[in-house]
Amino acid sequence: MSHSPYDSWLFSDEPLQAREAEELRHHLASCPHCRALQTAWGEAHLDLMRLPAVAPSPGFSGRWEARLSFDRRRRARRQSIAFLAVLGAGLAGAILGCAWLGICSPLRWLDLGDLLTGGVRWMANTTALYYVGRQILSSLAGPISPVAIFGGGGIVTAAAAGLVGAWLLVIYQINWSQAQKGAQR
Amino acid sequence: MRIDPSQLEQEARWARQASQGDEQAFAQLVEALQVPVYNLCYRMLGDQAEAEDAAQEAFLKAYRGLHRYDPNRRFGSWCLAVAAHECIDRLRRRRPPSLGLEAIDGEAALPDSAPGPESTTIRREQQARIAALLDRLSPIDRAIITLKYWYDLPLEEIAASLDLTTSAVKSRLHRSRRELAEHYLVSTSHETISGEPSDVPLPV
Repeated sequence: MSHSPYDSWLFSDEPLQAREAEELRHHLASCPHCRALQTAWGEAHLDLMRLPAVAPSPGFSGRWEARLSFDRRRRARRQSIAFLAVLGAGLAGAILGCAWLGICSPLRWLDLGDLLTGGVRWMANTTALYYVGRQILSSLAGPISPVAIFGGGGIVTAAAAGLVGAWLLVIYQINWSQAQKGAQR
Repeated sequence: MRIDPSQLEQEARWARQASQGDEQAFAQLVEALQVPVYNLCYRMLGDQAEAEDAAQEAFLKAYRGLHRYDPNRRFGSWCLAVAAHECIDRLRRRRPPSLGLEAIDGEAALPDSAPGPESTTIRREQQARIAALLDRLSPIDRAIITLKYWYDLPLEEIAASLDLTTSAVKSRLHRSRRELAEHYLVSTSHETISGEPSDVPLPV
């Protein structure tokens, strides 16, 4: 016996037309298989609807709040670890990049070691010059009057400014004469 | 599971406040929605400890994803959708589950209108039978049946919750009903196979 389309109609959500409902009733009267399916679905449906809602054990929202704060701490820890990892990777990349430049680049003067020792040497020399200058000034402070020191300082500054001005003027004249020659050509 | 309008209004107010960063308002939502969300997880997973974990995780995901919540939608339905996805993921990850009467024994059902020893036994049998039936469905079909028959959600809302089309939900629902009926028939060795037509109403 063919059960189509009756077995499909049995489980349909759509309402059947009067003619279809009549045909289904007629089929059910003569088909034990479809009748059993219809009854089974009816009872399973009732069981589904009858079951009560199940509640969690008391204190659910308190446990959720504890879980939320634990989750926050875990996320903060993960972010810190991720930040440190990125920072470490960046530093390692920078060191490796510098080393590569020093080894592979034709610009050997970019060698990291040379740069570092040069920088340290320059700082040491500057510091030494500062101390020597301070010693000279402090030894002169006794026999020479403060007016003479300030006056001398002013003269030295004015002379330095004059030299810088003369240097700038020479550079300007050279550039100007070259520009004139270019224009004449 | 019917909800009165004043509860819906309160829920919407808490959801608005929670979206603006009010953590206390979200805690109120957890308090109000713990039963429907836990019940969905329990019906889908069939295990109390896993249902508790899934419900807690669903609320965490809802809290973190509040910026994705559409205020035009009921907050409770949105939470149920988040919980359904969580359960579907868990069901896909795990091996074929089994649920016996011993698992049903410890569950804390809401107060029954007739909590006598006889009704308790009948209820446990129903629970075990239904849980065994649901066990045979695929995770998505289980979610559809649960949302349809326990929460009475419209098909469109079920479709939106599970990222399916309405016609896909209809077709899955039809297939699931048939599967449930066939398994029910086998499990109860039905007595009416050769009997008179039953008085279960036709879908007219």
